[in-house]
Amino acid sequence: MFYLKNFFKIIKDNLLSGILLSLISLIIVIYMGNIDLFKNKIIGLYPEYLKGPYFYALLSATENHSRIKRKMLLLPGVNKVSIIGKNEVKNQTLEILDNLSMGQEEEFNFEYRGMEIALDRDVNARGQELIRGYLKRLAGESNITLGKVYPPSISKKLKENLDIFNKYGGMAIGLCLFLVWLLAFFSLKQKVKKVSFIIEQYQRKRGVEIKIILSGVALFYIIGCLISYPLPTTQWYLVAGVGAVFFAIMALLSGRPSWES
Amino acid sequence: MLQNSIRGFSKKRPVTSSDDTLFSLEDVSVTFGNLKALESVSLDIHQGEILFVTGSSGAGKTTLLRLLAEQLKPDSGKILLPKDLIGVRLFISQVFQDLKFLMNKTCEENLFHSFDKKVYKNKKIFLGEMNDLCKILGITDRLHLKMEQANGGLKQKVALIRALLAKPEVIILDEPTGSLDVDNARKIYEVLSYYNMKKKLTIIWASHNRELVKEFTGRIIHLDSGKLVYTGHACFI
Repeated sequence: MFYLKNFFKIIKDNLLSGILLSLISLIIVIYMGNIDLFKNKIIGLYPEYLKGPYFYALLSATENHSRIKRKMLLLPGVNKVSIIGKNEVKNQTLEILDNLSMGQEEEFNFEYRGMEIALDRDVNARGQELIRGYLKRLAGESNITLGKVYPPSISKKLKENLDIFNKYGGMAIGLCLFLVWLLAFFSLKQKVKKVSFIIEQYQRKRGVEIKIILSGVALFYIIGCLISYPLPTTQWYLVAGVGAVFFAIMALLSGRPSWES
Repeated sequence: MLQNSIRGFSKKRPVTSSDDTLFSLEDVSVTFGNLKALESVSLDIHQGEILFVTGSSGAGKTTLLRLLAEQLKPDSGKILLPKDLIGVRLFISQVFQDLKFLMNKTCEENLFHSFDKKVYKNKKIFLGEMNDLCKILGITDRLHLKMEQANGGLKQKVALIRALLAKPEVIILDEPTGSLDVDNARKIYEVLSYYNMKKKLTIIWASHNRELVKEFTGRIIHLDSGKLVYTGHACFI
């Protein structure tokens, strides 16, 4: 408690580096423990990247679309299934009819619903055919009309960038966070060194520097663990790794306190 | 209580030596580049002793104190510290020449760095002793000042009180009265000799002011260009 109290006193006097060190310690634990979750969240900002080839299907409005959607999603290679409502199908059809100057809507039956089936990016032509065949069997061949398979809609450049991000981005963000942590750590370390020097001079205590900084960082590490605990995606070996790195750096860089002006 | 005990104490003779050697230096030399800061210094310091280290600026006083505080290692010779001689690591506190304060804190906050729960049962006892010492040295009304607002004299008094409140077995003082007039210097000596007598505090006091030191009771060693040139009783200098 004595060391933790001193840690917060030092933070109070050095708000920027103190808050930075505390917050980044917390963020690193949560981020590294759930690195895949955060990476996927960022990639999720570009849904077209996750979406591979896709096709549309037109089904009778009387079909149980939810059941078909659920069954399709269980299929390996199916990334996303979106149901297109009756009204949207109607509007799109009317637009096409209008463009073709036909305008005879009363002759058409609009009791249809659409479905957009997006496949995984790595599903090959054979896989695509198997999925389409399964959908036909599921809905009944006479009740469904399948559109052609469109290639993924993402630009080549964006795809390349996102590929790189997918491969190295998670760790790169982790590394950046860690560099900021180191910066804050070195900045605060000088202040901790001074206070530790005084405490060791006038109180019967040893190893004050490492105890002060360790108690502070450990507190935020534990809070990070508690926040990560309910998250099912937490990779605890990474959380433990972060703890080990924190401890090693603090132990290596904390020497005998000195007074450096 | 402490104040009453100290009042008039200087008339009594403090303990100046004993047989228990606390520090032993044998032929110790320290060199900084081409400069010989200490040259073949041999010296024993005893438990409960008041030792004055005199010499002009650059004579090697601070170097000697840093050796005793284990902040320096000798280039040659042997230095035996309390842990080597009496097998115990004694608590040594220092009053540095540059004082070393947290400048954005008040005098009081800086004094609180000496509040050690291993030494004081509770804060009340610590505060009592702190207030007594502040009263004796006449700084009670200036404790709220930030260190950056304090003058040299106040800083030196705070530094001394901080070191005494730590209740060390040995106190090392590097020019503790440099910014003080003779009366205040005498007052500081009175306080220190009280602690020496009552609490067997070993005092190692470096000063360039031999005239001042002559007034006090204790052993004196004089350094000149890193060499020990005189050792004897302060009043016989």
